[in-house]
Amino acid sequence: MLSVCYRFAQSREDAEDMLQEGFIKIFTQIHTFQNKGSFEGWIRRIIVHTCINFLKKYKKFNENLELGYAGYVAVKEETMPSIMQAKQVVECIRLLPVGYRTVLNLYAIEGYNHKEISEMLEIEESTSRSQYTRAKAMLESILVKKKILEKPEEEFRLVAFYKK
Amino acid sequence: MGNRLYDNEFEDFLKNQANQHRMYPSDHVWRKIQGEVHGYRKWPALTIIAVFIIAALVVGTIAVKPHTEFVVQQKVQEAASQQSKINAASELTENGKAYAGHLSVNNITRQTIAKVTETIQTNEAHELLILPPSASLAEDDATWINTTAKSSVAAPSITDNDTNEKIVTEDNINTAAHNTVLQDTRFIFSNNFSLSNHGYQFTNTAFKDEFSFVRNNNSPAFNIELAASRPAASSPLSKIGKKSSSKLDFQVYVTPSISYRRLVDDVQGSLTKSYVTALPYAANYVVDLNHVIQHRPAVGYEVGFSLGYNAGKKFAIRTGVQFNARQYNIDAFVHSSEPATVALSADNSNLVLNTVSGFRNIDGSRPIELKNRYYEIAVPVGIDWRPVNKKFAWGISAAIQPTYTFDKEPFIITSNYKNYADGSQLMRNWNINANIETYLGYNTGKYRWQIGPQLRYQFLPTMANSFPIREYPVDLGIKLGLIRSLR
Repeated sequence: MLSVCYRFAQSREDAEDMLQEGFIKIFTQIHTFQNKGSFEGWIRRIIVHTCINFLKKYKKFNENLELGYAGYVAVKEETMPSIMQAKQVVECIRLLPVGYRTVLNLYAIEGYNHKEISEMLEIEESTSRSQYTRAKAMLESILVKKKILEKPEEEFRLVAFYKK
Repeated sequence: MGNRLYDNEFEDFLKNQANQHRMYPSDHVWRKIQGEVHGYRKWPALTIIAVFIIAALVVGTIAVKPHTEFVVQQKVQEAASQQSKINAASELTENGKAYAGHLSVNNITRQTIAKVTETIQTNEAHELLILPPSASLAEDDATWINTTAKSSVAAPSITDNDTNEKIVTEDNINTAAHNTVLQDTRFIFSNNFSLSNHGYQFTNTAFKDEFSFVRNNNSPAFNIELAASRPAASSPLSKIGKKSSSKLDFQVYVTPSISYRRLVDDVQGSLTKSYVTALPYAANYVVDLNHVIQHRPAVGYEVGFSLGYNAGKKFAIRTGVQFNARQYNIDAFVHSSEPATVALSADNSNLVLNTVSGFRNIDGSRPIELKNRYYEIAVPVGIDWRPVNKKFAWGISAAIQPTYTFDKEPFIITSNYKNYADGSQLMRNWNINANIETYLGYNTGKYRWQIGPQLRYQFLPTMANSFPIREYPVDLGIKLGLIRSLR
């Protein structure tokens, strides 16, 4: 669960604070678990909601940013040690601005739909969709820069351009 | 719009990478979670400070003794040295020497006598006899003071009777007063007092039986036989005159004790009804909890101090502050953490407390001894009755103690009697205890030592009423106390 919190948090300390709050809720409300569904899934939902509430409480959400910002995300490859790819990908996700990162985590990884995300983050559903699109594009460019992903093939772009 | 297939693949890629990522929190995170959920274990600062204060009071009370004999001792020694100087310098005849020596001793001891007289008058004594130290006593001197007349008399002359016993007779104006029996006469002896085996016969003198070497032969006259050995102790100045009883006293005590507990199931049988689905037993089968739960008493203690008000010579009311540490041990077995259920009942509705337990009542991986512990602070209010209160005393005491538990580590059995779980959230912080004790005491002046057995019982169950198993701790100990009269 700490890795879940780590993807939402600004730092490891914030992630541990989120984890602490989340598990306190879990232990104090464990009697409300009704054995419907997976116990891990129940815990994960509580942790995710705790992370969102933590970000809201400390006003960690920034305003929307343009795609061009991706060029200014400091990706210092030389400072990142040689670690497994999973951690690299998570670190790349954490490089995103907090708003983008949150929507990406909720939609792409946690599996919430945009309607649920809009209710949790108290934003419009369209805002959630646009945020996700921008977040994905930014993340993709970061992963390409770090050579974790290959550049998407040109033909798809040409087709899209032609269709326009 | 992007390629949907690519989008799904990208999301799957992110999901897979995120799921493979593992992180582990540091220990302090779990400790904080434990503290928030179960309460932080407080450093027993209050316990240590209370024990330190009580120990300091005990040591200070025992170690500091009033110096009441200094004046008498010092003055009497000066008299002895003066006497030897006079003897050396005098050119008088033999009789004159004796008379001069007698006078000089009187001159010096008058200063002491004036000081002592003043003390005695404030304590309402009638008369006292002062025997000077051995050096001048060889001159057969004695000084007899009537404090009400505020005068010192000349030393009575000492003559030999037919049996060659020395007799002190009065030859002064206060003779008549000395013919009555006096109730509060005291003797003052110096600490280095010693006499040869002369017998002295006094008339019309009463005395208290404070000195073992003084014997009364039931006649107006009495003999003082002074053995070669010195008296055990001289009467301190503070004891001159009437003894006035103190209304207040201060007590410090410590009671090592053994803590037992009595477990009682719900007498109406609602316990078995709640757990009918969980218990392997039939619903009407009565289980003796004290056989199911393997607990053993452990050693605890009580430390405290109290202030007593003596309403009479044999009756006192006491109140104070007391720290209690009570604990008992539970035999259990370590097991991997597993869900544990405790059924509660409140207002005719059944609630369930789901928790996690790492200890089993039945066989597990390895045996362990769980220490069930409570730290309490109590304010006992009670009475103390001493039917016998002389040199030795015997008394009975009882008190009610409102108690607050400020640190606890209780373990409760789960509904199926299979696991032990933390019961802190169900435990009452406030409770009522009562104690009854009997003791034997030994009075030494201002102090009384006492020792005796004490029984302490808790009235309300340890856990809240919603927990069906009721626990009543019982402590049996030996109380050792020291009481000092306060003036």
